[in-house]
Amino acid sequence: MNIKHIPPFLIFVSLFSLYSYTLAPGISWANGGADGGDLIAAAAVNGVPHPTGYPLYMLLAKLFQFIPIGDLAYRTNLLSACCTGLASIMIYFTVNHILLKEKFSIISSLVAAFAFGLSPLVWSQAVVAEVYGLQSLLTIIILYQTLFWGNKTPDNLIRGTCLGLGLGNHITTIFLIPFLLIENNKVEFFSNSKLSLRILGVLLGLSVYLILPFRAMNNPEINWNDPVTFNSFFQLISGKIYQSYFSTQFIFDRIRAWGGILIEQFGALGVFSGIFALLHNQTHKKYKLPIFWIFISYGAFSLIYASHDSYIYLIQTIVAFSLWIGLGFQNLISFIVPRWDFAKTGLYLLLVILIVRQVLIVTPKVDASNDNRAIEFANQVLRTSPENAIIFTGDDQSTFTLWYYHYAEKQRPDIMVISEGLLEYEWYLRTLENNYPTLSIPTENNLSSFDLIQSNKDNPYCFFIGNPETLDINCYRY
Amino acid sequence: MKRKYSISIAVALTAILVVVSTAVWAGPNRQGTVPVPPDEVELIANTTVSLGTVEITSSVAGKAIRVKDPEKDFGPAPEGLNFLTDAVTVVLSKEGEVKVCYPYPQDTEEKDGNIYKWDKDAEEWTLLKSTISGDPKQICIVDKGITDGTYSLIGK
Repeated sequence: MNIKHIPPFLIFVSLFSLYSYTLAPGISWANGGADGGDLIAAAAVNGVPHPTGYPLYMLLAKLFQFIPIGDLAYRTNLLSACCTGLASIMIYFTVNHILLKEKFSIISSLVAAFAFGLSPLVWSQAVVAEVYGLQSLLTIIILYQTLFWGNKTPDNLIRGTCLGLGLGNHITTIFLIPFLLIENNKVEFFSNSKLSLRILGVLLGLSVYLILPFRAMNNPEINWNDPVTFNSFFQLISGKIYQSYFSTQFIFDRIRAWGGILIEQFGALGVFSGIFALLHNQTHKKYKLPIFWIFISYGAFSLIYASHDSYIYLIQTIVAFSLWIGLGFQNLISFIVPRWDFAKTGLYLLLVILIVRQVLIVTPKVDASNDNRAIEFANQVLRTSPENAIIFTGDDQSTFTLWYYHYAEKQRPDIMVISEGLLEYEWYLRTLENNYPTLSIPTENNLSSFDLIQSNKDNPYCFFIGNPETLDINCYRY
Repeated sequence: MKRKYSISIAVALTAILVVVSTAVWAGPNRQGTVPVPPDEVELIANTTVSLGTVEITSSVAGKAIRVKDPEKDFGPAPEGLNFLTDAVTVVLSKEGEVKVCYPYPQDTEEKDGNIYKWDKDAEEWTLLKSTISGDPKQICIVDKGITDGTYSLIGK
């Protein structure tokens, strides 16, 4: 092995080992991972998950579901671990490239990579089935290409394709579109041919969205928005259902919380190093703007997206801040060590201690390996619900967990799982008609579970009352 | 910016962040991926509406609000009994009459399911006189001369 390959190899092996050790055993509610059930099940049945459709994630998840280890959920969790490990390697390469073989560049790049990979928020999403590991990987790849790729024809096409694929994973990649105008870290209004190639690449990458209408045409069990018409397709990929989630109500409280989250991710020392890099002119200032743009655009989005868990979108700001930490560390160590040579060994030792300390502190916070709540919930429901029962679900946890076992793992094919919150959507009623041909669906305005119960008196019905965490199931039959 | 100034400002900003930052991410109670089922519906005079597993008809306009955890929001069920479903709070624009119905399958009958009303003064659930009818069966109560009330299906 070439010696220069050792650090990235070390990064991936160490982080992937940690992620595997703390990986959720299957479907999990840990670390806000309730959405995982929908993503895993949709990938398994070649279906269409919740908006915005996540087509690239669907393809990769399907690929990982062929790995002969654990169940479908466990294999999909591995996708998150892999992507996050690879993102950490790319963080290393980015800092290393910026530092261009300066003294201590390797250790500074390692600092950045581990600052990212061991941060609680990043680690928490690396151990459950979610899209953010892949999103981080794509963000840092796009940034790397923006900063360092030259003007070769294939480069322009590949850059555009990566950005298009990024949009095919998460719509917030839209913030990186201005990077198409940057070449070798300079903003240029360059020749039409280069821009055309990049735009062509974006369209090529975006073509991954075409899998969604093709999947929908086959009436899969999970088929959000049934995107077979232009309107329904556009509503899905634009996330129309969630557009009322934007609000400035929480901005000021969230700015303070953002500061707290930064401290929690990196500690005071890490935050100091990152802020120092941002302020100090000599610290490779020509790279600052694109990195700052990632930090501020994703940060602003998380402030105004009014879901209770929008802090998750700060993961991309952690990508940016980790780079600054590495650059700040480089500047500080370059100042300290030449003056006090004895400090060199002490600094390396300090780094090892900080990494070990970080692992010990963060592991209990993010460890999903013992989280069996979703599995136990599903076992209880599937074991106790009567034959041919209609099971009404309300929230993400109950809905997506049962979708996974019922649709993806094909357990209890006799029951009918119905999400109350989706009954107002025509596309969902069509999905129910396809999935459950014996279900009688009255043509009521504002269809409710009461209407379905009354129209299907031969079927027992079950629902959950009380605290969502206890999820006691009550079943009745006529 | 010179290094010493950068270091000073970075130290100051970090200290400020440590002091003023919070750990709580502000946000609404719940806005998940699955849209929240409506917890409130408008009542139109003499029009039957359903909310979850309950059907409501009122003589005047108003609103009906689903109560998902009646024990927590109001009080425990009478001794030896349990809540069999969500509760519903009805608020009318003026004094009127409300009819509240729940499905009445055999399992509910075996549990001696009945509709109770929350008594604000006594702070307890009190049994209402109900009728059972229809195919499939429903259990209903009619509450007259009220402007508001909370009802729940309670049984063994």
